[in-house]
Amino acid sequence: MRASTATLFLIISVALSSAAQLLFRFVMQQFESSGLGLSSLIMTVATGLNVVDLTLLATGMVLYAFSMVSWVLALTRYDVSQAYPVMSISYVAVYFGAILLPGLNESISLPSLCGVALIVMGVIFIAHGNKSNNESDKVVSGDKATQA
Amino acid sequence: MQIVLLTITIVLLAASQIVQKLAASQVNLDGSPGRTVVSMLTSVRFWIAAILLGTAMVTWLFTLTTAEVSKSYPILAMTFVLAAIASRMFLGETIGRYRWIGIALISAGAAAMMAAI
Repeated sequence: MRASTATLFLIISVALSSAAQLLFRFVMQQFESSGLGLSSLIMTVATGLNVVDLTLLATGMVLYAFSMVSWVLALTRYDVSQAYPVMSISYVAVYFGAILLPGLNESISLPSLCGVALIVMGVIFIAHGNKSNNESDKVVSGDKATQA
Repeated sequence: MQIVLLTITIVLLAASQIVQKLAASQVNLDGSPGRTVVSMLTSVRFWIAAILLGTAMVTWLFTLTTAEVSKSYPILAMTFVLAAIASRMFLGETIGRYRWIGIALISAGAAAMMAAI
């Protein structure tokens, strides 16, 4: 697989998984005030989901599935250490998407903003650590790049 | 309740990641793209990983009934922390300096998110 094709798959994967998460929350948020115990929550959700809700959830599932396929295809060309920092963009996309989209209207705060920043930095460090810990993996993916 | 559901989701996702890693070794990259897809879909490990992921999806949807997605979705990055520690315990992998820093940063970020949830 060419690098440009793999990059496209990576971007598609980020976009699809972010959209799926926002869709999931959009449907499930209607049960916000209902839950006390888990069993009553399950009952409320099971009886409360209508045809429109189920269609939206199914759409989210399909987006999520395509995101996973796209991710695996991108990984045939890229190291995990290269791909995960790109994937962590979805945390930022979902964070601001949920705050800015009128159907969700979630709250923004300094602690949560710092939290997202710390998590994205953390993912970058973990991915970089994987790279330097697995010299053999680097050689393998280098071979793959040569073949492609 | 949402903390319990979120924790279960993270454990299932980390387990799925480790099985995905095991499944990746069964994917054939030397043949045609069709052969690559077939080798993936006929791997039992791939489907175990998929079932774990599917179960995590259900607990995640229930998490989203009460938890804001802007706060709870980034907390799912704790999956990396759990997967790193699990691979150290069970697969004998080492955790280098950068990965410990990453683990600390994600944990601190997740703690900040938990407080804001």
